[in-house]
Amino acid sequence: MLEVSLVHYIILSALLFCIGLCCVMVSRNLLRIFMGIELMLNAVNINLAAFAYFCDGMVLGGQVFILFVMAISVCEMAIGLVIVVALSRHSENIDVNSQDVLEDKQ
Amino acid sequence: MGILNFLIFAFLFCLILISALGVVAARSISVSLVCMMVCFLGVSGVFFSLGADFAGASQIILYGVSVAILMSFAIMLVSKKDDRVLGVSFSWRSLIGGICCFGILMILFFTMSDGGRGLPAVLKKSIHPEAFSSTFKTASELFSSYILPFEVLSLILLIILLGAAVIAGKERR
Amino acid sequence: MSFFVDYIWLVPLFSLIAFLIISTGNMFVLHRNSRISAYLTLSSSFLGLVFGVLAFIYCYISENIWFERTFSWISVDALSFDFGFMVDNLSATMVVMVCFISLLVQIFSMGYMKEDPEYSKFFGYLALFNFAMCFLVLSPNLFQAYIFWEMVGLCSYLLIGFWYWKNSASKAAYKAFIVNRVGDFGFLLGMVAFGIFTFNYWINSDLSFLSFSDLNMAVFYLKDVFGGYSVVIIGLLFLLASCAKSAQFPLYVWLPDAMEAPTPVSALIHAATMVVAGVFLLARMYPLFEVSSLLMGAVVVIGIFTALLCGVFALFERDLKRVLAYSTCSQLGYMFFAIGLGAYSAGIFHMFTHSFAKALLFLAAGCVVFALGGRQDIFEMGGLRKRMPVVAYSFLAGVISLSGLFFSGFYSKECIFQAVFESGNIWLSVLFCAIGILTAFYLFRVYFLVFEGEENRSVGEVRSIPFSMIFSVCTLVVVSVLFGFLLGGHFGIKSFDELIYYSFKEGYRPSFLLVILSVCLSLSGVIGAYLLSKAGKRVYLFENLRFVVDWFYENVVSRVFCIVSKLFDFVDRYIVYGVVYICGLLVNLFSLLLRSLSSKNIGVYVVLSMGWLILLFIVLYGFKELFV
Repeated sequence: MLEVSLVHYIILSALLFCIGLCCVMVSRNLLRIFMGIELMLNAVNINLAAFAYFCDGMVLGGQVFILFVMAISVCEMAIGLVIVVALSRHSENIDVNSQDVLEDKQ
Repeated sequence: MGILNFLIFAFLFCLILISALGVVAARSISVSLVCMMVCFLGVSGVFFSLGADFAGASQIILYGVSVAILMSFAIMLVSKKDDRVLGVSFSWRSLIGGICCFGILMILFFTMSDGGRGLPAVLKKSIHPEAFSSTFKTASELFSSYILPFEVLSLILLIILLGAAVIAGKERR
Repeated sequence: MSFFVDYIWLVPLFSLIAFLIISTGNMFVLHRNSRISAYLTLSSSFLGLVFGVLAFIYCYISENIWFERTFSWISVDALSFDFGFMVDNLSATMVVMVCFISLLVQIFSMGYMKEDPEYSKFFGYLALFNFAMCFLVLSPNLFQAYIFWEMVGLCSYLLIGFWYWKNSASKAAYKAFIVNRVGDFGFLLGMVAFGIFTFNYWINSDLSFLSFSDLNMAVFYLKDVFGGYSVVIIGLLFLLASCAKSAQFPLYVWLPDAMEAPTPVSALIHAATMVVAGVFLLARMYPLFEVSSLLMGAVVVIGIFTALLCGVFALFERDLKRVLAYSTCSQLGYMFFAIGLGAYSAGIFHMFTHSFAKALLFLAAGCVVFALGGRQDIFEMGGLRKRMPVVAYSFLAGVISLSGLFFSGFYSKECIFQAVFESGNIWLSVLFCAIGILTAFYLFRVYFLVFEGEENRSVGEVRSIPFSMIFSVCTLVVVSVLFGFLLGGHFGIKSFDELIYYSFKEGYRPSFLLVILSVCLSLSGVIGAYLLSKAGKRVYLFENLRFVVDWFYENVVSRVFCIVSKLFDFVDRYIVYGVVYICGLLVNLFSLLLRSLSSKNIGVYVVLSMGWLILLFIVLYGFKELFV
């Protein structure tokens, strides 16, 4: 238990992933949903780094992959936020539970 | 030496999870933004402890700084004065969300423990290899084996730039 | 000489070419009433006749020829539906008859239809009919026979309704076509049933499907495997087809109304050629009929009943052409009767003599109608012998032939008489004698009313008859006089039954007694008619007797059909369409279900996208755990 091994990092990653998922599913604010997505991606990164460290030896494929994940997540974040901003111009609020966010106001 | 490792890990563990919970549970969106930043810093710490120097550094730069700034700009642009506090509400959606989270957590734990039978040997590793420069290794991998995804990534970034510019532009009447 | 048999498929082809040229030419170049179409059709028929006669001579001099040439049209596994022609004695003789009568009718129509504005269309239709009829006669299998059977029916429709602006004519054309359709239905069902039941026979042997040459073996196979009932049922279906085409009871109703057609058409189609297609079918399907005595009995009953009934109708009829139409039905009944008794050659022989005699009668009647400017009521005629002697004597010759007094009809009637008496059935013999008297009676009644006696006041102006019409009539007189005589077995020429027989040469040598009996019967009919005409009384009795059957059809049969078709409509509308409707409804419901997944709420999408994946993971993990 006291020896920090792979299990501990994986448990951390799992818990972080679930919290991020919870954040996405539960929150009403669109921006908080994005935050949850970021949390999930970070959990994945932790997982990748842990496996790369403990199992991969000299070939650090996991760490390279972390870079890709980070880059993609930043891209997706950028576009998503631009869309949110455009959406908020269009409708009054960004409450995902409300009925009129996607409404076509002619 | 082992116990120091363990203490550092425990600290980062608590930091990450508590701040993640803060993201979920905070009433105001700005508070959840700050919690998210703290979480990112914690993750960066985890990277450093796993020998992923470059990953940790880029985590701080990308997430801890630029994503946080991006989010804060978004919050500023989007929030309105008469905005209600949009916190967690108890609806059917949250119920399903809760069930799903619990389910996925259980799955992950069961997978880890190989169906409840016990940890497989691979997960019990705690070998700490000698220090090496992971940055160098990462770079050499990136430019040899992973050159194609790297180039594709640059293309994606270009498209994202253009797309963001187009979407964010003012609508023409 | 065998060249003409090899190339006998040219005979219908000439007519087809003529038809195609006329029909396309009508659209572009040929003027509506151009004479070119007449000459085209005439030359094609003449060429066909030459070929046919030479082929017939070849068949005559060689013994028992059976020449068949087909090519495979549709070939599925071991079955092949062939198309081609078959020449045996029967088909060669029929080709000659068809082409000859066709040629004479076309010559006749040159004069008769002279002033008709749609002259070339008429000749086109005549050419088409010639093509269809010749190929029907030359068919090597049931399949091709069906195709041309229908085509002949089509030509009949086209020609009956030729004067389509007349309401009665177009209605008569419908009637003819629909009643023929009933027969076609029987033909199709019979053909399909026969094909299906004897399927194994055709597959195992390397023969062309449903060919006539192998029909008797197929029938034996059918009887062995499926028993007598299948033969009876299939035979009844073919009998239905023959009855419709040859106007037997109860499907004869189209023939009297078909007299709305121009007289050449009546002569060609409804006396000489198309209505004998039914008898031809019986002759071709004779192996099938021969096997079952029930079928033969049915044929006899239908034949004799029609002969009697239509003879009675003819007795009270006042329209000239309609008398001849009922006479045709009656004589066809004779032919059915003869074939049903087993006298194959006698029946076929009677078919030939009747064709020539009836064509003669119709053409002569056509001359009369033409001369009187379109009037057809015999009560308005009289004493026309002095006005048009040639026509009168031709009509007399035809009537004598048909009532069996002398000329060709005498010979064929003798053969049937012999067969009747040999069968030993008292009732049949009595009925036959009665019909003999009746035939002579009504035929001579017409002759006496039209041509003898004083001239009726209302006759009026008599137009002069064109030479082409007289020519046709006289030629037919010559042929019909000589035909029976030549083929009666004298002068060393083969007699008819040596030419066309089924399985054995029947050898007609009627006894002297029978000859005397039949002549006496016919003469009594003649005397009766003469006395009737002398008495001057016009028998208006039972004038509308024939409408009884029409009433029956209109009220009973059509009511039944209405009910049945309402039932089918219900099935079609609610059950068949209902299935289609339910399919559409199901699609609608499914799309409703899918539509409910989309909403204006973003939250729904968020939950769905994540939750679905997670659900998938849970399920897959569960599978892995449980089954691996």
